Amino acid sequence: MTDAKQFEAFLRNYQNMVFSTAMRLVASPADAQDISQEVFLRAFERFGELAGDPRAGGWLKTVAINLSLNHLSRYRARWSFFSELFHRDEAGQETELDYAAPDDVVEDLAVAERRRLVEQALHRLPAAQRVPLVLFHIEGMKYEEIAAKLGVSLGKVKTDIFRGRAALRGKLGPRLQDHWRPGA
Amino acid sequence: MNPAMEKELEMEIGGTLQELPDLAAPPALLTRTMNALEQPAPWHKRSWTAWPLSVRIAFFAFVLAAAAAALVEWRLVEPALRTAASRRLAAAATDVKSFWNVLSALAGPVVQAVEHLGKVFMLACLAAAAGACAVCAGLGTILVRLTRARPKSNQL
Repeated sequence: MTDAKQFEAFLRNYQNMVFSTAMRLVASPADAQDISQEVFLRAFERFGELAGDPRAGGWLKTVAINLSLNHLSRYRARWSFFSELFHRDEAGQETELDYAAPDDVVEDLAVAERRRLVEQALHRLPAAQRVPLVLFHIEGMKYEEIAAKLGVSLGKVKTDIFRGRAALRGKLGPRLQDHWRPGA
Repeated sequence: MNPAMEKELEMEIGGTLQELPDLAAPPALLTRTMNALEQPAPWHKRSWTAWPLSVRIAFFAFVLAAAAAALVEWRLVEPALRTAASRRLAAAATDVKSFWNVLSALAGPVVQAVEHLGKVFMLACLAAAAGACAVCAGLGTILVRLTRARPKSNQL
Protein backbone atom coordinates (compact mmCIF):
# COMPACT_ATOMS: atom_id res chain seq x y z
CA MET A 1 0.00 0.00 0.00
CA THR A 2 1.35 3.46 -0.89
CA ASP A 3 1.79 6.21 1.67
CA ALA A 4 -1.24 8.09 0.32
CA LYS A 5 -3.46 5.02 0.57
CA GLN A 6 -2.19 4.28 4.06
CA PHE A 7 -2.80 7.83 5.12
CA GLU A 8 -6.30 7.79 3.64
CA ALA A 9 -7.09 4.70 5.69
CA PHE A 10 -5.60 6.39 8.76
CA LEU A 11 -7.71 9.49 8.09
CA ARG A 12 -10.89 7.43 7.67
CA ASN A 13 -10.14 5.69 10.92
CA TYR A 14 -9.74 8.84 13.01
CA GLN A 15 -11.73 11.52 11.19
CA ASN A 16 -14.89 11.15 13.31
CA MET A 17 -12.97 11.41 16.56
CA VAL A 18 -10.98 14.45 15.43
CA PHE A 19 -14.00 16.21 13.96
CA SER A 20 -16.10 15.53 17.10
CA THR A 21 -13.39 16.91 19.37
CA ALA A 22 -13.08 20.10 17.34
CA MET A 23 -16.83 20.46 16.78
CA ARG A 24 -17.71 20.19 20.46
CA LEU A 25 -15.12 22.82 21.36
CA VAL A 26 -15.67 25.40 18.62
CA ALA A 27 -19.37 24.65 17.95
CA SER A 28 -19.07 25.53 14.27
CA PRO A 29 -19.05 22.86 11.55
CA ALA A 30 -16.98 24.96 9.13
CA ASP A 31 -14.34 25.81 11.74
CA ALA A 32 -14.29 22.23 13.02
CA GLN A 33 -13.66 21.02 9.47
CA ASP A 34 -10.80 23.51 8.99
CA ILE A 35 -9.27 22.45 12.30
CA SER A 36 -9.65 18.75 11.46
CA GLN A 37 -7.92 19.28 8.13
CA GLU A 38 -5.07 21.10 9.85
CA VAL A 39 -4.76 18.26 12.38
CA PHE A 40 -4.44 15.69 9.59
CA LEU A 41 -1.99 17.83 7.61
CA ARG A 42 0.21 17.92 10.70
CA ALA A 43 -0.30 14.21 11.19
CA PHE A 44 0.90 13.62 7.61
CA GLU A 45 4.19 15.34 8.40
CA ARG A 46 4.74 12.80 11.20
CA PHE A 47 3.00 9.91 9.55
CA GLY A 48 6.17 7.83 9.72
CA GLU A 49 5.97 7.88 13.53
CA LEU A 50 2.18 7.80 13.87
CA ALA A 51 1.38 4.96 11.47
CA GLY A 52 0.80 1.85 13.51
CA ASP A 53 1.42 3.63 16.80
CA PRO A 54 -1.38 2.91 19.30
CA ARG A 55 -0.88 6.42 20.74
CA ALA A 56 -1.77 8.06 17.43
CA GLY A 57 -5.36 8.65 18.58
CA GLY A 58 -4.17 10.43 21.70
CA TRP A 59 -1.77 12.56 19.66
CA LEU A 60 -4.51 13.52 17.22
CA LYS A 61 -6.90 14.37 20.06
CA THR A 62 -4.32 16.56 21.80
CA VAL A 63 -3.54 18.43 18.58
CA ALA A 64 -7.26 18.84 17.85
CA ILE A 65 -7.88 20.25 21.35
CA ASN A 66 -4.90 22.62 21.12
CA LEU A 67 -5.83 23.89 17.66
CA SER A 68 -9.46 24.36 18.72
CA LEU A 69 -8.43 26.33 21.80
CA ASN A 70 -6.01 28.41 19.70
CA HIS A 71 -8.81 29.10 17.27
CA LEU A 72 -11.16 30.16 20.07
CA SER A 73 -8.61 32.41 21.74
CA ARG A 74 -7.69 33.99 18.40
CA TYR A 75 -11.25 34.95 17.62
CA ARG A 76 -12.50 35.54 21.16
CA ALA A 77 -11.05 39.02 21.52
CA ARG A 78 -12.32 40.04 18.10
CA TRP A 79 -15.88 38.84 18.49
CA SER A 80 -16.57 38.62 22.21
CA PHE A 81 -18.20 42.05 22.45
CA PHE A 82 -20.74 41.34 19.73
CA SER A 83 -21.27 37.73 20.70
CA GLU A 84 -21.92 38.63 24.33
CA LEU A 85 -24.28 41.40 23.25
CA PHE A 86 -26.24 39.12 20.96
CA HIS A 87 -26.04 35.96 23.12
CA ARG A 88 -23.29 34.54 20.90
CA ASP A 89 -23.66 34.54 17.16
CA GLU A 90 -23.46 30.79 16.68
CA ALA A 91 -26.16 30.23 19.27
CA GLY A 92 -28.75 30.89 16.64
CA GLN A 93 -27.33 28.45 14.14
CA GLU A 94 -29.20 25.22 13.66
CA THR A 95 -26.50 22.76 12.77
CA GLU A 96 -27.45 19.40 11.41
CA LEU A 97 -25.37 16.79 13.13
CA ASP A 98 -24.90 13.19 12.15
CA TYR A 99 -23.46 10.49 14.32
CA ALA A 100 -21.02 7.90 13.15
CA ALA A 101 -22.91 4.73 12.22
CA PRO A 102 -22.95 2.15 15.02
CA ASP A 103 -20.93 -0.97 14.45
CA ASP A 104 -23.50 -3.64 15.07
CA VAL A 105 -27.13 -2.59 15.54
CA VAL A 106 -29.34 0.07 14.05
CA GLU A 107 -29.47 3.00 16.45
CA ASP A 108 -32.71 3.49 18.23
CA LEU A 109 -34.27 6.62 16.76
CA ALA A 110 -35.39 8.02 20.10
CA VAL A 111 -31.89 7.70 21.52
CA ALA A 112 -30.42 9.34 18.41
CA GLU A 113 -32.90 12.18 18.71
CA ARG A 114 -32.04 12.74 22.37
CA ARG A 115 -28.35 12.75 21.53
CA ARG A 116 -28.99 15.31 18.82
CA LEU A 117 -30.80 17.49 21.36
CA VAL A 118 -27.93 17.20 23.83
CA GLU A 119 -25.40 18.11 21.11
CA GLN A 120 -27.45 21.12 20.07
CA ALA A 121 -27.88 22.27 23.66
CA LEU A 122 -24.14 21.89 24.16
CA HIS A 123 -23.37 23.97 21.08
CA ARG A 124 -25.69 26.69 22.29
CA LEU A 125 -23.79 27.18 25.52
CA PRO A 126 -21.45 30.18 25.61
CA ALA A 127 -17.86 29.16 24.86
CA ALA A 128 -16.80 30.12 28.40
CA GLN A 129 -19.04 27.34 29.76
CA ARG A 130 -18.97 24.86 26.87
CA VAL A 131 -15.19 24.55 26.56
CA PRO A 132 -14.40 23.63 30.20
CA LEU A 133 -17.50 21.41 30.31
CA VAL A 134 -16.38 19.46 27.23
CA LEU A 135 -12.78 19.22 28.45
CA PHE A 136 -13.95 17.92 31.84
CA HIS A 137 -16.76 15.54 30.95
CA ILE A 138 -15.93 14.41 27.41
CA GLU A 139 -12.15 14.71 27.26
CA GLY A 140 -11.71 13.60 30.86
CA MET A 141 -9.33 16.36 31.88
CA LYS A 142 -8.90 17.42 35.52
CA TYR A 143 -9.85 20.87 36.81
CA GLU A 144 -6.19 21.80 37.23
CA GLU A 145 -5.32 20.72 33.68
CA ILE A 146 -8.21 22.72 32.27
CA ALA A 147 -7.20 25.80 34.26
CA ALA A 148 -3.63 25.51 32.97
CA LYS A 149 -4.78 24.89 29.40
CA LEU A 150 -7.17 27.85 29.36
CA GLY A 151 -4.93 30.12 31.42
CA VAL A 152 -7.61 30.88 34.00
CA SER A 153 -7.95 30.28 37.73
CA LEU A 154 -9.09 26.99 39.19
CA GLY A 155 -12.07 28.72 40.77
CA LYS A 156 -13.20 30.11 37.44
CA VAL A 157 -12.99 26.68 35.82
CA LYS A 158 -15.12 25.14 38.58
CA THR A 159 -17.65 27.95 38.40
CA ASP A 160 -17.88 27.80 34.60
CA ILE A 161 -18.32 24.03 34.63
CA PHE A 162 -21.02 24.27 37.30
CA ARG A 163 -22.82 27.01 35.36
CA GLY A 164 -22.44 25.01 32.17
CA ARG A 165 -24.04 21.95 33.75
CA ALA A 166 -26.89 24.03 35.15
CA ALA A 167 -27.40 25.78 31.79
CA LEU A 168 -27.34 22.48 29.92
CA ARG A 169 -29.87 20.97 32.26
CA GLY A 170 -31.97 24.13 31.91
CA LYS A 171 -31.88 23.85 28.11
CA LEU A 172 -32.71 20.15 28.12
CA GLY A 173 -35.16 20.46 30.97
CA PRO A 174 -37.60 17.58 31.39
CA ARG A 175 -36.23 15.77 28.32
CA LEU A 176 -33.10 14.89 30.23
CA GLN A 177 -34.80 13.88 33.46
CA ASP A 178 -37.74 11.99 32.00
CA HIS A 179 -36.18 10.22 29.07
CA TRP A 180 -32.45 10.28 29.16
CA ARG A 181 -30.80 7.50 31.03
CA PRO A 182 -27.08 7.12 30.41
CA GLY A 183 -26.45 3.81 28.76
CA ALA A 184 -30.03 3.62 27.50
CA MET B 1 -27.45 24.56 45.53
CA ASN B 2 -26.34 22.12 48.22
CA PRO B 3 -23.38 19.74 47.64
CA ALA B 4 -25.65 16.70 47.22
CA MET B 5 -27.63 18.38 44.45
CA GLU B 6 -24.40 19.60 42.87
CA LYS B 7 -23.08 16.04 42.86
CA GLU B 8 -26.34 14.78 41.38
CA LEU B 9 -26.14 17.41 38.63
CA GLU B 10 -22.52 16.48 37.91
CA MET B 11 -23.43 12.78 37.63
CA GLU B 12 -26.43 13.49 35.45
CA ILE B 13 -24.71 15.84 33.00
CA GLY B 14 -21.44 13.89 33.09
CA GLY B 15 -23.26 10.65 32.27
CA THR B 16 -25.19 12.34 29.50
CA LEU B 17 -22.12 13.84 27.86
CA GLN B 18 -19.94 10.76 28.20
CA GLU B 19 -22.58 8.70 26.45
CA LEU B 20 -22.41 10.87 23.33
CA PRO B 21 -20.84 8.95 20.45
CA ASP B 22 -18.49 10.52 17.92
CA LEU B 23 -20.08 12.78 15.35
CA ALA B 24 -19.76 11.75 11.73
CA ALA B 25 -17.16 13.85 9.96
CA PRO B 26 -18.47 15.51 6.79
CA PRO B 27 -17.54 13.52 3.65
CA ALA B 28 -15.81 16.63 2.30
CA LEU B 29 -13.16 16.43 5.02
CA LEU B 30 -11.48 13.39 3.52
CA THR B 31 -11.54 14.82 0.01
CA ARG B 32 -10.26 18.25 0.90
CA THR B 33 -7.52 16.91 3.16
CA MET B 34 -6.28 14.51 0.51
CA ASN B 35 -6.44 17.30 -2.10
CA ALA B 36 -4.46 19.60 0.20
CA LEU B 37 -1.83 16.89 0.57
CA GLU B 38 -1.61 16.28 -3.15
CA GLN B 39 -1.55 19.95 -4.08
CA PRO B 40 0.24 21.81 -1.31
CA ALA B 41 -0.33 25.55 -1.25
CA PRO B 42 2.24 27.66 -3.14
CA TRP B 43 5.08 28.93 -0.97
CA HIS B 44 3.76 32.50 -0.85
CA LYS B 45 0.48 31.28 0.70
CA ARG B 46 2.23 29.35 3.45
CA SER B 47 3.70 30.70 6.70
CA TRP B 48 7.14 32.33 6.55
CA THR B 49 8.75 29.34 8.26
CA ALA B 50 7.56 27.08 5.43
CA TRP B 51 9.07 29.22 2.65
CA PRO B 52 12.01 27.80 0.69
CA LEU B 53 15.36 28.69 2.23
CA SER B 54 16.53 30.74 -0.76
CA VAL B 55 13.33 32.82 -0.70
CA ARG B 56 13.67 33.36 3.02
CA ILE B 57 17.27 34.57 2.62
CA ALA B 58 16.23 36.88 -0.23
CA PHE B 59 13.34 38.22 1.81
CA PHE B 60 15.58 38.81 4.82
CA ALA B 61 18.10 40.65 2.63
CA PHE B 62 15.31 42.76 1.15
CA VAL B 63 14.03 43.70 4.62
CA LEU B 64 17.53 44.65 5.73
CA ALA B 65 18.04 46.76 2.60
CA ALA B 66 14.69 48.48 3.10
CA ALA B 67 15.52 49.24 6.73
CA ALA B 68 18.94 50.63 5.74
CA ALA B 69 17.38 52.77 3.00
CA ALA B 70 14.79 54.09 5.45
CA LEU B 71 17.54 54.97 7.91
CA VAL B 72 19.64 56.80 5.29
CA GLU B 73 16.57 58.62 4.01
CA TRP B 74 15.69 59.70 7.54
CA ARG B 75 19.17 61.11 8.09
CA LEU B 76 18.86 63.10 4.87
CA VAL B 77 15.46 64.61 5.49
CA GLU B 78 15.72 65.00 9.28
CA PRO B 79 16.91 68.69 9.36
CA ALA B 80 14.24 69.80 6.91
CA LEU B 81 11.60 67.86 8.80
CA ARG B 82 12.66 69.39 12.09
CA THR B 83 12.31 72.93 10.71
CA ALA B 84 8.91 72.15 9.19
CA ALA B 85 7.72 70.51 12.40
CA SER B 86 8.74 73.44 14.61
CA ARG B 87 6.97 75.82 12.23
CA ARG B 88 3.80 73.77 12.39
CA LEU B 89 3.99 73.46 16.17
CA ALA B 90 4.30 77.23 16.49
CA ALA B 91 1.20 77.67 14.30
CA ALA B 92 -0.70 75.10 16.36
CA ALA B 93 0.34 76.83 19.59
CA THR B 94 -1.09 80.09 18.27
CA ASP B 95 -4.40 78.35 17.51
CA VAL B 96 -4.51 76.80 20.98
CA LYS B 97 -3.79 80.19 22.55
CA SER B 98 -6.66 81.88 20.72
CA PHE B 99 -8.97 79.00 21.62
CA TRP B 100 -7.95 79.36 25.26
CA ASN B 101 -8.71 83.10 25.11
CA VAL B 102 -12.21 82.40 23.77
CA LEU B 103 -12.80 79.83 26.51
CA SER B 104 -11.66 82.27 29.19
CA ALA B 105 -14.02 84.90 27.84
CA LEU B 106 -16.93 82.43 27.89
CA ALA B 107 -16.09 81.13 31.36
CA GLY B 108 -16.77 84.52 32.96
CA PRO B 109 -20.55 84.54 32.29
CA VAL B 110 -20.80 80.84 33.25
CA VAL B 111 -19.17 81.49 36.62
CA GLN B 112 -21.52 84.43 37.16
CA ALA B 113 -24.54 82.25 36.26
CA VAL B 114 -23.46 79.54 38.72
CA GLU B 115 -23.03 82.13 41.46
CA HIS B 116 -26.41 83.62 40.65
CA LEU B 117 -28.39 80.35 40.38
CA GLY B 118 -26.64 78.53 43.21
CA LYS B 119 -24.60 75.36 43.32
CA VAL B 120 -27.55 73.15 44.26
CA PHE B 121 -29.47 74.11 41.15
CA MET B 122 -26.46 73.44 38.90
CA LEU B 123 -25.79 70.08 40.56
CA ALA B 124 -29.45 69.13 40.08
CA CYS B 125 -29.16 70.04 36.36
CA LEU B 126 -26.04 67.87 36.03
CA ALA B 127 -27.77 64.96 37.81
CA ALA B 128 -30.81 65.30 35.52
CA ALA B 129 -28.55 65.23 32.44
CA ALA B 130 -26.74 62.14 33.72
CA GLY B 131 -30.10 60.47 34.46
CA ALA B 132 -31.33 61.25 30.95
CA CYS B 133 -28.18 59.68 29.46
CA ALA B 134 -28.66 56.56 31.57
CA VAL B 135 -32.31 56.26 30.50
CA CYS B 136 -31.33 56.61 26.82
CA ALA B 137 -28.62 53.95 27.17
CA GLY B 138 -31.04 51.63 28.97
CA LEU B 139 -33.78 52.06 26.38
CA GLY B 140 -31.27 51.52 23.59
CA THR B 141 -30.04 48.29 25.20
CA ILE B 142 -33.60 47.02 25.65
CA LEU B 143 -34.38 47.85 22.02
CA VAL B 144 -31.29 46.00 20.77
CA ARG B 145 -32.07 42.96 22.96
CA LEU B 146 -35.70 42.88 21.79
CA THR B 147 -34.84 43.21 18.10
CA ARG B 148 -32.08 40.57 18.27
CA ALA B 149 -33.90 38.12 20.57
CA ARG B 150 -34.60 34.71 19.02
CA PRO B 151 -38.13 33.35 19.16
CA LYS B 152 -38.77 30.96 22.07
CA SER B 153 -39.72 28.16 19.71
CA ASN B 154 -36.08 27.86 18.58
CA GLN B 155 -34.91 26.98 22.05
CA LEU B 156 -34.75 23.48 23.42
